[in-house]
Amino acid sequence: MPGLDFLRRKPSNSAAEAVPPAGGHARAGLIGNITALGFLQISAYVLPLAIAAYTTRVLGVADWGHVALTQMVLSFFCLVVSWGFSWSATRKIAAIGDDPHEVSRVAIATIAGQVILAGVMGALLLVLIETVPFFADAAPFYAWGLVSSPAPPCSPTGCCRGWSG
Amino acid sequence: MKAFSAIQIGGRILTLVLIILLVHAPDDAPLIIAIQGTVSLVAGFVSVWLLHRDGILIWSRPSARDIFEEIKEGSAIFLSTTAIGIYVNLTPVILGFLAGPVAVGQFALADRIRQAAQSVLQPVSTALFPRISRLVASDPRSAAPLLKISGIGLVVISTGITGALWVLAPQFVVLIGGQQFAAAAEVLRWLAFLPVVMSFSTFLGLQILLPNKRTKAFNTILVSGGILSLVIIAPLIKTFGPEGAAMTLLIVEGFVSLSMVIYVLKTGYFRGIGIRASRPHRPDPARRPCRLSFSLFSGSGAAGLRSGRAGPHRPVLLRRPVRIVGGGAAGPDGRPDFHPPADRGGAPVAAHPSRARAGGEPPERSAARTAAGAALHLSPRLHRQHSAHAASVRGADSRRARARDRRAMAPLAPSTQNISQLAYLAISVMTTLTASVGLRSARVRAVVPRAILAGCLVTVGTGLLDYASNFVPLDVVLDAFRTATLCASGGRRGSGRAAGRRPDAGSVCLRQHLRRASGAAVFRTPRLSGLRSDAPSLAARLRRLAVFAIMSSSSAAYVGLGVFLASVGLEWIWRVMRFDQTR
Repeated sequence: MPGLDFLRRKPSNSAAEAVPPAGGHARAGLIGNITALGFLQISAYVLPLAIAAYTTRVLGVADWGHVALTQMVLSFFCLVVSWGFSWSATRKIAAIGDDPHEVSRVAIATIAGQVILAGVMGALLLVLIETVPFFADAAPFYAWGLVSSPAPPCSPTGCCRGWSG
Repeated sequence: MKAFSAIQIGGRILTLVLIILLVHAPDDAPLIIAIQGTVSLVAGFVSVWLLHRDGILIWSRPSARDIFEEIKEGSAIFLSTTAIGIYVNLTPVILGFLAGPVAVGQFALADRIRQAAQSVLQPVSTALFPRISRLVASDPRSAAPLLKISGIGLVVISTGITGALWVLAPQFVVLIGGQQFAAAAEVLRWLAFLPVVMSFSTFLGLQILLPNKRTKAFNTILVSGGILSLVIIAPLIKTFGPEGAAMTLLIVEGFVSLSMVIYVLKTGYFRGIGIRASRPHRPDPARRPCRLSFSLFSGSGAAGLRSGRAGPHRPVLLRRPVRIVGGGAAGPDGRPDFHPPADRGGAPVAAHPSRARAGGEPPERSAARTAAGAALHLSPRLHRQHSAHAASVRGADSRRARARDRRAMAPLAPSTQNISQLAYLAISVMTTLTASVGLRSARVRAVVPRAILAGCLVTVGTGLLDYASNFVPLDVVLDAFRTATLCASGGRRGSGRAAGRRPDAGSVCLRQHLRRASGAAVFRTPRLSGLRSDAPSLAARLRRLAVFAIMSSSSAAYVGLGVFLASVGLEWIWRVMRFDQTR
């Protein structure tokens, strides 16, 4: 695993440096970010396509539809857990700039907020599995969703975007 | 960012490997959810741990106040992400309730393919978002070049993605899902339009509205889209199944994009940061409506391409067969049709009663009818021993018949005839747009009528040439230019198209209309000069234009007229918005 030193910002000496640096260095950094995010995004959709190519053939249309439906329903829970942090935290951390303690404070508060929301949504999902037939009928699927819903807080995408902005 | 990307990619590869190792039968389906959830969780923990280990994330106990503050700040955007979630994620859920898991499977597969293709766009906006946020905070004008490049780039790339998805939909679906998912190709073709539609909302929403803290407007538009989705989703799914779900997404995304375009234009944001048209010394507000009209035309044309070639002949663009017909005869319902002599059983040509009335017609209409008739007489087929007969052309009147239509539909193939029909439509629309822009200047007004006259002369000339081919062996040369087959193959109703005649009539009618409207000397001819009167009012001109277009029975004329009226409407809206802004 490569180190993360490149994410660190050099200490700022003047207020003028708050403005993003112009020229080739900034452009190279931007292209690097786009490339990294590009691979991330492509993997985010191409690899699921590869998974889909395998699972559709193993499961058939109806069972694969069940899996897709479960994923869509669980995405609502993840939506709540993600809240609006991916954009609000990005914006805030990008605006803070070069103060590592302040950036960490915002990032940790954001992750803590997501953990709280994940707990709430996990509990709600458990209640739904116990009480609502739609969820009870597919209990094996939704029970594993209890693992999926805490995943967003442990994926600090927004923070990383802000750091590299 | 690179290390974080590596963790995420590694996690996804691990997911794929575990699924291949552990999932072998339908009973293993829940394991897919389990593997995906567990790997995401582990990857997330590793990311946080690495950030902490390298001193980037400095641990400090978060206070309740900090957490509350972050939740409060995120709540504004949460509203919009929820609205997006409603019309993106709720769509397959409702589809599952109304149409079952098979429909969900088809929709989900098509949507994943669309998302995979669209993922090419995502990093551009995601990587630009923090930088634009900073630039907007420090120096908004310096963000202008970046905005311009990213906006153009997003639209151009997304248009390519849309085209590729639409053309290759069957291949993509079979490649990913196998032959059992072949029906999802139609769903994917509807979803194919999303990348280009969403490029506008992505650009305007994430790169202009949010960085400028226009969160309220952003949320309002998205929540409105969510509400619209809730209103239309059930009827569309009940009527069209998984394709209805795709239509819902397309309609809602179109609404969101259009709303953002209108909002941003109304705020005058681009002028404020110095983004102008390529010719800033001559601002021309009419250009934008024309671009919008052109987009409207392109979208309609693309939608028309989706229509089937079989089934009853109903000239409706969306989801029903498009039939562009021509000729001088018509059935009782006024829609013309042609069949070769073998098919009509020797029935004579009969004109529609509304056209056959001789007496009592106003001279203008009579003249136009005469002109149209003359043009039709010179059209390619009538003088090639193919005559026409009146045929009732009716669309599907019952739900059952409409359902049969849908089953019978097939996408239009890129044949010579279809391409020529599209070319006719394009010529009609581009002529209208060019006239609406070009005729604003007196200098151009002096030139355009001559160009139109030249076009009319070419039309008449080619008609005469075609007529001469009855007596002179010119077919060897002319056949290459004849794209209309007029039921020549098999003679079955609906198997052929009559092209190349109505535009002739339309051009004659347009010529007469322009002569009437402008009084230009170039249009004066001995035959029609007696009809000239004082310059009519705008309403009268529009009325005549509409009458001539209807009389020409030309699909191209209808589309041209529709686009012209849409241009006028958009220009009026544009002017009103500018007026409100300058007050």
